[in-house]
Order: sequence, then structure tokens, then C-alpha cells
Amino acid sequence: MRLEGNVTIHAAREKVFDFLIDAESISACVPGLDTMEIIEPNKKFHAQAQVGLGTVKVKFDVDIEWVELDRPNRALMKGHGTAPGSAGDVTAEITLLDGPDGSTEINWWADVTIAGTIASLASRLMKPVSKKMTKTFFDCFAKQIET
Amino acid sequence: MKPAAFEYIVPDSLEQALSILQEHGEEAKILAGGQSLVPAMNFRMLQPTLLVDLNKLEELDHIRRNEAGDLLVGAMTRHRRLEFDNLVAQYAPLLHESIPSIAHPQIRNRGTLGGSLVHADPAAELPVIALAVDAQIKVQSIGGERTIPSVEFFQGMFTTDINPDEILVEVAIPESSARTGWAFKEIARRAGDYAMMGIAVRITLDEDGVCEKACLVYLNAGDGPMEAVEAAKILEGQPRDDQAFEAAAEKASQDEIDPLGNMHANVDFQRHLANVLTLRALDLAFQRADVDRGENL
Amino acid sequence: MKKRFFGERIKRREDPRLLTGQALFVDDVNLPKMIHAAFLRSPYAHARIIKIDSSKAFDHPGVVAVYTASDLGAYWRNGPLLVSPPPIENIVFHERTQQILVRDKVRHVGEPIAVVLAEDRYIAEDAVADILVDYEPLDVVVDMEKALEPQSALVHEDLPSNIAAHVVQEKGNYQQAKEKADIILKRRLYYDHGTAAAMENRGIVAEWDPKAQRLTVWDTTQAPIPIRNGLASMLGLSESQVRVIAPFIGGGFGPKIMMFYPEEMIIPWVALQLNRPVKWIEDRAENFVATTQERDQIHHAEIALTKEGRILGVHDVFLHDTGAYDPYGLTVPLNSQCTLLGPYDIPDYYSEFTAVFTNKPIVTPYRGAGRQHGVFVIERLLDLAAKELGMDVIEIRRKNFIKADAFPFDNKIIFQDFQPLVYDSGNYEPILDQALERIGYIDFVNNVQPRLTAEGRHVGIGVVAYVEGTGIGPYEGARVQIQPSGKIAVVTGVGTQGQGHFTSFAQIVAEQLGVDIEDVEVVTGDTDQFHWGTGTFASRGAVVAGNAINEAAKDVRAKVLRMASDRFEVAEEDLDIRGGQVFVRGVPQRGVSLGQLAVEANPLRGTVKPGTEPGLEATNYFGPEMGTTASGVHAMIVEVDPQTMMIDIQKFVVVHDCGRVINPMILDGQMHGGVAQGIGNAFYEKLTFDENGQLLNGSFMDYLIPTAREIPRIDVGHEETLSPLNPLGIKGAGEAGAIPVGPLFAQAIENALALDGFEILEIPLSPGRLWELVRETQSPA
Repeated sequence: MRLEGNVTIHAAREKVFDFLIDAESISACVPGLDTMEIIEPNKKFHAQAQVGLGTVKVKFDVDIEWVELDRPNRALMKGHGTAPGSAGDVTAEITLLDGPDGSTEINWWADVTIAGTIASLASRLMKPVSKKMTKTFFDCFAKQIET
Repeated sequence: MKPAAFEYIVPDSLEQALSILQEHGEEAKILAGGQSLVPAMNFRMLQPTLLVDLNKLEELDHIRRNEAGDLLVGAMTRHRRLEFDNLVAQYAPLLHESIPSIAHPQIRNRGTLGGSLVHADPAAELPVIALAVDAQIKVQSIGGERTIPSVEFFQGMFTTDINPDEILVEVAIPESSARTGWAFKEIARRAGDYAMMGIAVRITLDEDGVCEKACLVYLNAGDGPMEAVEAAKILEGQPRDDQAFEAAAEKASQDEIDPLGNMHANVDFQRHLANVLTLRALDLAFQRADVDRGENL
Repeated sequence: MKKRFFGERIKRREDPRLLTGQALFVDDVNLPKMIHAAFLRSPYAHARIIKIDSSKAFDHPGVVAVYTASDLGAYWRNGPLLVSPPPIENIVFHERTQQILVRDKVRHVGEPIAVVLAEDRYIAEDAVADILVDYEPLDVVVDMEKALEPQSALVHEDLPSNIAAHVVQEKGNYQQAKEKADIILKRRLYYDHGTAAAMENRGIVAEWDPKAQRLTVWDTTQAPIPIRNGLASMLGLSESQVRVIAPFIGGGFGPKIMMFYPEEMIIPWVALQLNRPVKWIEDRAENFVATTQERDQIHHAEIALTKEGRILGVHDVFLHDTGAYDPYGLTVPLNSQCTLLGPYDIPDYYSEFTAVFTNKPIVTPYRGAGRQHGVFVIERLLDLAAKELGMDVIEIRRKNFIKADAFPFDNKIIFQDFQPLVYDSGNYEPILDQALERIGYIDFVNNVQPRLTAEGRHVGIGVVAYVEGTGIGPYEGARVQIQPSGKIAVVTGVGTQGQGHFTSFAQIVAEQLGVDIEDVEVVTGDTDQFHWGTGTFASRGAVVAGNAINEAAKDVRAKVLRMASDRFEVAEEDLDIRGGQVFVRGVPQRGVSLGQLAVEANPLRGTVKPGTEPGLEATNYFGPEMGTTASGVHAMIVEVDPQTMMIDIQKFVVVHDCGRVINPMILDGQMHGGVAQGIGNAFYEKLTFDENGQLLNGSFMDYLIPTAREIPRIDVGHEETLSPLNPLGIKGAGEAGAIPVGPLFAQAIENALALDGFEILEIPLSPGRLWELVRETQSPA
């Protein structure tokens, strides 16, 4: 499943970039995040998060790595998560461009694959869940960085 | 397909249930009919640490009317009881008409009104009906109770305005005004399946047969029960008229609903079905309102 | 008047036990100290296994053992190849069979990687959730056509491509036939068949008795004897040390044949290792990916005809999805290839198929076993040809039927039993006529349909024909014994999964031995009772086991007559057997009960004649020289809502010819069940895989098997054209109901919608898909 989008954040590119790859600052915005452990600063993380909507949430164990970092232009992330009987893999790329009035335009895409029980039982939920979670994330992100 | 281990409590009173929730918060899950929760637990997609079983709370299983004429339905009332209850048939005919579309008798024997509303599955019938009949939803916590209009209660897929320490206790359905017609239509692959598309319609006519108020709500058409407000406006102020029906159906199916599509029906087909069902439902609802108006048809 | 059993509508004797919960199923077997197995299965369709860490599994109290591939040592293996490739010239076949537990690379979702044994299933599943596996996901092979492109990932990297097999079979010369043709039609046709979804999933209980040095295995198998023989060989035991019991089974439909599933290989081994009884019961989520299924074929088919509608030849090239492994050889595509010829005289035929490995569950026969795919192709081609020629769909079929006097009819290609595809007997016109009569064809077409059309309704009719190769060899056996009580014990090796064997087999014996059916006790599926045979599949139970039982019963009858002839000093011809007695014809008082005779046949003192066998018992076998060919016609009237594309089946008729009928009621039931599965295949069931090989509808929430609400009343008629290949003259009937329903839907729905240029070239259908097809017809891209 491929997801993509763009958002404009009222902040400089460097600031946005640094914020994006910083585990501490991002923790506050990842929906359903229970714990975040830094394995290698600004590069590798381990997280436990509840993925889902409302009353239907699945606990995932997730390893995240920024595999390519080109400050302040582009970042490529790979994530691998597991839940009982299921696995999820994400590759995501974020590209930053200068927007009007000192803002930054974030273009992003993500390839999400879900394997196992969740794929076979909850395929109808995957798209809305992903949509909702990315929206929640970027809304929060914009709010945090702009204040 | 066995659930992970969990604690299980069966409170004897609503009071006790509420204090357990107060204590355990989000760790606790309420077991009502269990028709969505238990399969999700068996697949280990949900692993609550505590189940609070409301099935002993007889005070939550009732159907009665209050002085204002509202139909009051307890949260633990089973679908099967709703299906055969005379008060429901008489005072909430739209609800009555929708029940046979909810899954199969075996599921209706267990499933509850409150459970379905709190689960807020966009493909479920009861949230759509609640919105269409303007149901008032009463929730209670140790701290007190509050009543939430349906339009505020549903906040998206599986998401409602209820807090972790609250229990939905009762639903109030206001009495319909005179000259009100209704219809519920859905299309499912097999009898009892999640519908590919569904609609609940309620319209009220004035004495001349002109639509005073219309309400159209769709199921499996977005991330919650989807009300088509603009389509309703097209109908309001109009008599029974095919062109108005078509315009409303077009507006609702193309602009107002936001179906997600799935393996049984893609988005285009869902919109097409919404269009077809809107026309069929409006036709029936106006017919019924006309009968109520004393029009001999 | 002698009381008849053979051919009578006798209620199934096993039903009271089944319906009151008194029948033994595998999950009913509970043994002291029994432990429970749960499998860790791959969530990925294609991935290399980097590392498995099962240490955390032991944190759960009650976990007894965990095994991964590396723990199996020398016992690690691939399953056996069950059906070798047929003797066809220039055949290509790459044997790749399933792994007992995955060692290096998973090739489909659900492949087993580890097994946990624990005191109960809950604990076992808790522990499974804590086994950590590092996977390296690989590109996934899902689509058959893409799988054959040079840059495709490989399911088996030791092969140069994803080609599992390639087979060409030819009859006559299609190119020459084509030159004589007045019209030639060519289409791409797609047929997808789903999962059997038997009511009971698979299950195994294994117990090793160290004192008796015997292994007992209860298994939901259709073929207990091959499982016993295979297990003995794998485990290094003698065959007599292994007992396999196939108790009552909630539906077989093919996927429970002697597959040697990974679980079947490992559970008995674990019972030996741990010296404790082990139970594994497959759950529904596992069944969707770990039990074999059937899937799709893509046909590029061409038909050449004269302008009178006479078929000159058919040319068909198709792809067949075999899944990640091919342990069942080429049975399914061979059936497609052979059954395409149908009841028609097709002088020239060219058929070529390529079986393709994909990262999906293994494909093996499921009720119909590829016949559906072939029947869909020929029936659709005939419908399209009829339209092109302005002929009636009935007329074009009648015109091309093999004539009644043309049997045995040699199709000159090789069938799934490796014998030439020769139809033993048949008479197709009366079947068609009866079906037309029952559906009311003439009245519908001339009166009813025009009236409904004028009312704006869309009601259509369909009529399709098919043959089914049934009752293949090699053989089955049976033992029949008259007991001192007068009761008859019948044992045979085949397993039973709901076919009514306890009734129909008893009817055969009751008829031969002149006893009441209530006095015949049938035992099936226990290798300690009978240990020669193959199994219940390919619509062969009644044909092969039924005839073996008949032969054994005849032998017992001969023994009875010989003994009674000595006893009463009359010629055998002057004796009669009836009502459990043998007596001198016309002198009922000069008789003896069969029970008494059985006592006398097994004396405790005195002497017997040299060469005499004790008791009134006989064992015999039956092996047909080749399969028999059953045939039939299905007809349906269906209404389609042109706005929602929902359907309403108003009438459904099956007329079937399976030779002599043992029990018409059981046969009707076989047809009903088959049609239900056929309707599921045609309009409801579709295994939906995404581009990562994930099954998106692995539950009954989204995999839609039709329920009683979707299945119409089915009117069944019978014709009886006896098979010359067995003494009872019977043919198989197990799969017939399911076979032609796809093309029947296509024809009837096309007829109902009556749109110019609208062609249905695929199965399964759905309202959404029909709506798209209609849209494409009305506004071509």
C-alpha cells in the first residue's frame, strides 16, 4: 500500500529536518506510542506502539532506522514491526523544499506492507488507519514545531 | 485462535462496574455481546488485561417510554429483543426495519445496542440508525452521567465521545412527528454480511406533502455513519418529485459520502449503490409519509 | 416379493449419530497426558529466514518442547511426491514438495516454521507469539503471467524459471481442422476456484504406546492407508506397528487426501520423541493458508466450427497456478485439459499448459479438481459460437454430442489416471431432454421470458452440459463376514467424510446376502481393520470400494450356498437367501439362519474338509481397467437486478447420469452439496491475494461461502447409462454438482441482461464485477 502527501510547516528547513529525526521530539507526535528507545541517536530506534483506531488497536514492536539522511533535503526511513501473527514493513521518504515566507514544504511517501493475521482479517481497515495516523502525526508535528 | 490471558470480572451492579472502570481505565474492556470483541481477542488483535462483563446487569436491559414520548432502550438490550419488541416497532419503526439486516439470528441473540454503538464500526447498522433518529446517548461514570446527541457521539472509525471510565447505559429515541416516513435499505453480498452500502432515510412532510425535514445517513460510506446534509437540503421544501430525488441521490452519492472501497465493492460501485439505494429509500419513505398524511395511495 | 435395498431411497443410517453429536471426530480424541501443538507460521509469502530465537517460548509455564527445522536432525525432509508426472512425450515436470518445517526460505504465507508443544493450546499459542524470527523479505511472485517474465523473482532458486511443468497433448491436427472452418472464435478466459472450506478443519492426534511398540494416529485424512504406509516408512517402523484411524470427518473435498501435510509428518514424530500423546487441531485462520486450495487458470482458447455449428477443433493454451510446491503432480491441470472435451465429439484438439510456481498456498484437487476450468472454456466457446451463428445454445450442444452408439469413445489423450481418455459409455440426449423438461425451457423461452421482459424484468435461463471422469483405479478392497449373530461386518480401507458410505455400502451387501440393511455394519478408515487400498477421492468411493465390497459379498454368498448345499443336500441353484435365512427354494421350513451357518463354519471341535477356510468371510478387491465417465446437464433460471447486479436464482435443475444408482437420496444430497459449492465458486468465493501474496480474506467474514439463504431448492433428475467397466455398472457422482455451475451462471446472466456485446469470460463473478463488465460493454475504454 502506497501512501503519500504533503504538508507545509511554518519553520525553516533545518529546523524541520532536525525535529523530524529527533526521537524525543517525534515521540510526542506518534499516535499510540507507548515507549521509544534510542538505539543510535538520530539513526536507530526501537518503539512499542498501539496501531489502530479508537477501540481497535494492535500492539506493535517496531524497529526504525533512518537509512539515508541528507540534511536538510531528504531522509529515507525503514521500519519493521511485529505483532502476534503479523508483521509490518514501512519504507518512507521525506523530501523538504523551501516554501513561501520561510516555510518548509514536506513531501512524503510511504510504502506500507502488512503481513499475516492483520492483512487477512483487517484489510478493510488498513487504509483508513494509515490515513488517520499520518494525519494525526503531521497535525501534531506542525503544532509542535510552529510553537 | 486462542486469546491471550486476561482477568475477568462480572459486576453485580452498574455501580460496581463503574468503579472497576474508574480503577483500571483503558486496561479494561467492557464485554457486552462480545460479537466484535471476542473474535478480535481470539485473533490476538486485541489483548485486554481485564474484561468487565456487563451481562449480569439487568437494569441495562429494558425498553420503555417516558412521559415525553421518548423510547428508552437499555444498552444491554439484545438485537433480537429489538427485532420483536412491539414498542420498537411502533415508536422506532426505522430501528425496527433495520434489525433483520444485522448479521444473523445467532449474532442478534448476543449482540447489544450499546455494544454496537460504542464499537462504532462504520459498516454497522445501529450507529446509522442512531444518527437518523437523532438518538440521545446517555453515558455514566462514577462522577455522574451525561447525555450526548448522536451527531456528537460518533467521531470516526471505532471512535466515540465516550471516556474509558464511562459506560453507555441508555439510548433515548425521540418520538417522530406526524407525517414522518422512513426507510432502511442495504445491499450485502450475502444475507447477514457487512453491507456494501446502506442507507437510512427519515423525512417529515407538511400537510400538503411538501418535505419539511429530511435526514439521510449512509453506512459503510466513510469513517463513520455518514449524514448527507446537502442532499437533505435539496429535498426540503420539495414535494415528492423524481427530479429532486435524483438530485439528492447524486449529491449524496458523489459528493457527500466518502466510501473507502474494499474487495467486495470498489468505491465507484459503492457510490453507484448509494445512488440506487437513495432513490429506492426515498420512494418508500415518501410513500410511508403520505400514508401517515392520510393520502390514499 | 424380495425386499430390495440396492437402488432404494434409504435414509442415511449414520445421520442420527452425526446429528446428535455421538460420532467420533479427531478433536473428540482425548488421551491421558496428552499435550497440544501450535505452529508458528510465516506471515510473509516469500522471505529468507535469518535467525530463529525460541528461547522466550520457554518462559511460559506448561511449555514442553519447541522444535524448529534445525531441531529435527535427520528427520527433516520434504514431503513425498504423491502423483508422478504422466507418461506424455516431452513433458516437463519439476518436483518441489513442501518442507516439514521451513529451513531457509518461506515460500507462502502460513508455511510452518516452528511447533510448540504445551499442556494446553492456550499456552502453546502464548509461546508461539514469543518466538522471534528474523526474516529478510524477498520479492513476491503472485501473478502467473508476471512470474514467467525473465526478471521475476524465483520461488525455487535452483530452477531457471517459475515453470513447474509444461505439457502438450494433441488429438488429430488442429491446424488442418482450422483451415476447413467457417468460423473461428478466440478468447482469453479466466477461471478461479477457491478453498474447500470444509466444516471441519484438519486435525491429528498421535499416540505412541511403548509397551505395545505401536503408534496410533487419528487423522482427518481421506486416505488413511497411504498415510499409515508413509508414516511407517518415515519413522522407521513396520507397517503393522502403525495404526491410522480416519474417524468421522466433517468434509474432505480433496484437500484432505494423502497430502502428507507438514503437520502429518511432524505430529507423530513428536509423539515418539516425547513419549506423550499429541493433539493438533487446525483452526480456521490456519486452514485458509496451510490447507491446500485450488486457484486460477488463464486460458487462451480458440474454437473452429462449420457454419452449421459443428465443432471441427479446439486449440487451448493455458497457465495453471500450482502455488509454492507441486506435491500432487499435475492432476488438476490434466483434468482441465481432459474435461474440456466434454460430451462433445471434437475431432481435433490441441492443448498446452504451463504450471507456474507462485508464492501462494499449494494447489491440489478440490471437488471438481480442475474440471471446472476446462468445462468453463468449452461451454463458453459454444455459447459464443451459438451467438455468432445465430443458433440456439441447446441446438449447438445437441449437434455436437457424442452419439449414443459411439461408445466406448476414444479421446486419444491421457487422463489423470495415466490411462487413455476413453469414455466407457454415455447417452447425452436424454439427459438434456430431461433437464429441458424439468426447467420448462420451451415455455420459458416462448412465453415466460417475453412477458417478464415486457414488464422490465431481467430474467434469464442457462443450460450447460459436462462429463466427469470418475472412479479411477488403482484398486480398493473389502472384507465381508457373516457373524454368529447373523450380523454382517463389512470393512474397507477408504475413509469417509460424509458420503453416506455406512448406508450405500450396506445396501450393496444387503442386496447380495439377502439380509436387512440394519444387520450390516460398515467400518471404514481404520488400517487395523483393513490395510490395503488408496482412498476416497476422484469420485471413486462407490465405484471402486463399492464394487470391491460387492465382490467380497458375492464370495461370501458363494460360501453360504456351498455350505447350505452340503447341509441340505440340494444343488446350489435350488437354494435361496432371503431375510437372513438360506433355504431350499419353495420349502422355507428347510432353511437355516446365516448366523447359525456362520457358527457351523467355525467349529470348535471335530474336523473340517481339507482346504476349507473357516467362517463365512471373504476378502476381495476391485481395480477398474480405467475410469468411468459420468455426465450431466445443469439448468437455471435467474433474475438479475440490473441496478445492483444482485441475483435471485428462481429454479435450478440437475440431471445426472452416474450409471446404476445405489441410493437416489444420497445421490441427490451429493448433487445439492456440489451445486452449493459450485454456486459459491461462481458468485461468492474468491481468494483475494494482494501484491505481497497476503490473503486478504482469510476468514468467513470476507471469504463468502454461500449459506442456506443463497442456495435455491435444487431439482435433481437421474438417467442410468450403465458402466461396462464394473459389475455393478456404477459411475462416480461426488464432484458432478460442482463442475458446470460457473459457465451456467455466465450463460444465464448474459441471457438475463440481454446486452449487445456483453460477454462473461471469467469466474467468479460478483455484483461489483458484473457492474464493471456491463459498464465496459456500454462504454468501451
